Amino acid sequence: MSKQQKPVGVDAKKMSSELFALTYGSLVAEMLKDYEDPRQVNLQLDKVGFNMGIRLADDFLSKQAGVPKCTDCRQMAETLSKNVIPAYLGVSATVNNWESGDREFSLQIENNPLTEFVEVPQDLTSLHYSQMIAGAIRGGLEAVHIKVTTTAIETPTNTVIKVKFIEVLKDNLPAGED
Amino acid sequence: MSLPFDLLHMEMVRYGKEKEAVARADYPKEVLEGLDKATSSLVYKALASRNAETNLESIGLRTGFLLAERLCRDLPRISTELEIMKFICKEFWISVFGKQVDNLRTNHQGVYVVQDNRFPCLTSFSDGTQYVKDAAIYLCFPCGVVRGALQALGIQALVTPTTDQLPSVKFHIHIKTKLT
Repeated sequence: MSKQQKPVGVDAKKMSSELFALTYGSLVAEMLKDYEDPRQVNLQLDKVGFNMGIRLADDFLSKQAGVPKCTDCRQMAETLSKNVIPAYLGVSATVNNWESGDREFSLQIENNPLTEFVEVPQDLTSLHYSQMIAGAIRGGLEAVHIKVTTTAIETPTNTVIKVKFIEVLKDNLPAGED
Repeated sequence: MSLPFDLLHMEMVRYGKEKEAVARADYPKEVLEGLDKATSSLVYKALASRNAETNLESIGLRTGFLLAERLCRDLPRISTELEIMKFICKEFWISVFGKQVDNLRTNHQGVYVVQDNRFPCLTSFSDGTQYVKDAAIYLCFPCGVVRGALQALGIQALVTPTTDQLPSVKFHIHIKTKLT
């Protein structure tokens, strides 16, 4: 190899997303080895995402001061799709499929970087590969006192995260401290 | 290294530790109780395939293998051992850990020492010697990554980390056999 050879493909930002995607893939593979039931893996991935989401919410709020306060689900969905997902996944998302009086919506993530190198085998249809993203959204929203349920569904072209709003959490004082 | 990766790494460590705790709970206690210290430590070593370090290392191994394959796809063939080590320390290290290594030494007999004075996986610990023990588990994944990359390039090696002052770390690479 000649010394002058320009390192090919060494683009720090791009590689860091590759590192993330490949590491995540290896983690999922390891989990599938540990648990026989893909649904257990979904739960674990959700937990991983949840814990990351709680911290990401702090990071997001500290860096993006211009984001307005959300008062309804539509604003929340817009902030998620236009600010949060581009900031951490590097791709944009679209919001659609509003249901049950603006309480449920879907986030469509196109070119999901996590699935760039992945082909989930036929026999693992019950595995939600991108469940970590769903968990992270749930964790992030819980950190700002919004309780939701989320699921990640993989379609051949993109990833759909279904979000269902449950309630606004209230700070409850511990009993006997009023 | 970007923030989400650090968080993912933290979660992997948590997952590994949790799984180890579960595995420990169903170790055969009645067998272990009667044994003296030396024998029981041997039994624990035999059960080590389920501990957090092994788990993290194997995740790293797979990741490193894939990363190295992707990275040298368009490069000309790297043939000698030294060239491979240089590739690992330069291009590979930059693309994975965002910087070059600070020092590479070898005894020309199959032992290499890679030194990184500011290793990204350790920067969230406070500097100094206080947390060296707690930081150890955060080096298992990078070790696996390095070993996986070497394997992708045709070298079987043993990679062990040592650190006596955070955030600097030395990776000792013992080359076992060269695959041809």
